[in-house]
Formats: sequence, structure tokens, C-alpha cells
Amino acid sequence: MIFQELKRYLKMKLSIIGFVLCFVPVLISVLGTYMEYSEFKSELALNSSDVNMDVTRKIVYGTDGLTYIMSYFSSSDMFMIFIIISLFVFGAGIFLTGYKNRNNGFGNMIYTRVDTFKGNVSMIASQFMYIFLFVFAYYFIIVTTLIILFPITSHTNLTIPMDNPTIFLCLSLLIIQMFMVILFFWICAIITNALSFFINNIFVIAIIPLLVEFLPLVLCSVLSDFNRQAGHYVSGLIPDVYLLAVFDKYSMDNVTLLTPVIFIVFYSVVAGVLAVLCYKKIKKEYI
Amino acid sequence: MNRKFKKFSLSVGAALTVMSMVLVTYGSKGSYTNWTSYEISFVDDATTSSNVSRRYTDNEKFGVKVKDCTMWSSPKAKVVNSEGASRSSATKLKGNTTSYGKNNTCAIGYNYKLKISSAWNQVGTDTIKYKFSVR
Repeated sequence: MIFQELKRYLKMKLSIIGFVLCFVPVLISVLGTYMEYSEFKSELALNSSDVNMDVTRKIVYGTDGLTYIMSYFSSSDMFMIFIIISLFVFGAGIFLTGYKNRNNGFGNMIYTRVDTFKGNVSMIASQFMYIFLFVFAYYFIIVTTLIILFPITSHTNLTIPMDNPTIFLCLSLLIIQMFMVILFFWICAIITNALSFFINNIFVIAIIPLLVEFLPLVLCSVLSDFNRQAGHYVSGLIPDVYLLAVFDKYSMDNVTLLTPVIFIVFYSVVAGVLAVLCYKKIKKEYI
Repeated sequence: MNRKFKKFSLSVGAALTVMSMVLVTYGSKGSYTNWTSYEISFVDDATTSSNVSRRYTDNEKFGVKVKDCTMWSSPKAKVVNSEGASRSSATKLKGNTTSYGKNNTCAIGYNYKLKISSAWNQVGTDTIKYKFSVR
């Protein structure tokens, strides 16, 4: 059942359109980085007295595929747009499967043949596999395409203040971030699927993943009006902080191992509690 | 509780913990010279500081120390000259921390300003208090 469900997800129109749409922020980011590169290049040509030519030369000759890749994955705007598009696609697509199955004849046909709990577990397992494939393919396509388009030089210059940016280090950071993104989407999958047993409105269920992204931001703003310190503590639950922590470590003080750990522990507990409540509800109300 | 469910929960929990523990926790920071400090409001998309910082070294980094900011999005900062021409790459800022930017092409002996742009997800007007150094 897992692989049949996975095939169904892969063939969904919304998933395909969403996956293609996710490359729009990449194009904008690449264009932005290229414009910045052109600006430095023109500085070099102008030879202005207030410009350090050695550094400018190093930037111009060191801009390669790795610069474009790292600029995109460490940006708090374009990369987060990818996260939002993905959450919307998952929320309105694959995360709704469980709710839809329980409310139509096809789903009822499945649940008369398969145990409801087992059926839902295999459905979430296929969602996990789909998310993994989605994110892995996204990272793989971007990295390979940009490396082919802009070959890596021996003197790579990044926009992140890393002292010795080697290809190995950059790829390791990207892999870590990729798994962090996958974990975040998995947590969203558990939360949405579990809440779909308690909320009987398809639109509310569809926006739950987006609420996970935006609710902490709103909460921070409201809380900090009453107590600045409280807002500061809640800021650890903002997904941007967690998803970019691996790169922010190089460009900011106060970014520690604790920042993503707090985020993961909190949302794992939330997902765990909801999963247990959902399990009890299934055992009580379904076959 | 179902045995498989227990195993499933345990393996997900273990995976989440292991993944978060793998984060890299090193980085290097430098020293600062000539700080300036004042408050600024986000009325427009971008604001340039009136205070200037003088360049003393060849360091490729620049630093922005944020003391207090009311927005929870991440505004971006870059070094510009008196005519507004870019002299660095942009770096994002956060409250109560020091951010470091790269590709600082400032020449020694000149003064530079800092240009801050609001993040795409900022709502309304916010205030940020910071000081910066082009080193």
C-alpha cells in the first residue's frame, strides 16, 4: 500500500506544479547573486579610489557555482519562499489524503479491508517517502545544475563569512540542512494528519502546515508587546531560525546547537502528543 | 498501545534527536573598531544610516551589532559609500546579536554608511537599534 500511495502522490498535478514552482525563488536568487557579481565587476572596471581592488578581484574571480548555491540556501527570503510553497503544496495535496479517504467511498472501501490505524501509518510512511524524494530531488537538481552552469574554481568566494569554504564543507552543510528541512516537513505531516481527525473542515486542515510557519511569528509579535523577554523565548520556535541555523552559525553570534534542538524537541513533543491522541481516537471510533 | 506504533514513535524521536545533534558549531569572529549607534524606523523599504564608520583594515568582513529590534523577520544590511554604491554583500540581522557580512570592498581611510532593507515578510513599521563597523 505504501508504494501505491507514493505513486499516487508522485502523479498528483498539484505536486508536480508545486515542485516546478519551487524553482522560481531559485531563479530570483541566482539573478540577484549575478547582479551583485556584475556590480563588483563594474567596480573593478571603474577603478574607484574608495574600493579595495584586491578584494573586489577576489570576489569577481571567485564567484562560481558554490557561491550561487550557498547564497540561495542561506538566504532568509528566497529559501523561505520555497518552504512556504512546499508547505502549501503538501497541505493542499498529500496531507489531505487521510481526511479525504475517510470522507469518501474509496477511502471507506480501503478501511473496510485494512485496519484504520495500519492504513494511516502506511499512508504517513508514504508521505514521509514522498517528502524525502521531493526535498532530495530539489537539492540535487539545484546543486548539479548550478555546478554545471558555473563550474567551481579553486578560489571560491562565498557571501557567507566562512574562513575556508571547501566543497566538502559546503556540501556537508547542505546535506545537514536538507535533513533538517525533511525533519521539519515530517513533523508538519504528523501534526496535520493527526489534527485532521479532530477538525472537520478541509480548508482549515489545508492551512495547518502554513500555520506552523507563520503562527510563531505572529505569537512573537503579540507576546513581545506585553513582555519582550517572552517574545525572545518564543522566537526559537520560528521555523526560519531552525532551518537557517546551519549557515547562521557563521554569520551571527548567539546561534548555538541549542537553537535547532529546542525547535525540534518542542515540535516533536507536539507531534507526539497529537499522534497519541489521534491513536486513541482511532481505536475508540474506527474499526 | 500497539507495538509497531511504539517502535515507530521511538524511531522517529531518535531520528529527530540525532539529526539535530549533527549541527556544526564552530565559526570565527574578529575584533571591532569605531562603533556608531542610533535608532532607525522602517517606514520605507530601505534606510541608510547617517553615521559613518571608517575603514582601518583589509578584513573582508563587516559587523553589525543589533541591540534591540521590534521585528521578528530578518532585515538585511550592506555597506554603501556616500553615494549609495554597494561596497559589500548583504547580511541578515537579528535582535540582540552581532551579524557578520562578507565581501567588504571598502578601501582604507574612507568612511562608509550602512544600508538596511526590511525583510519580505515584515509587516508595518518597526524599530531597530544598532551599531556597525566596517573595521
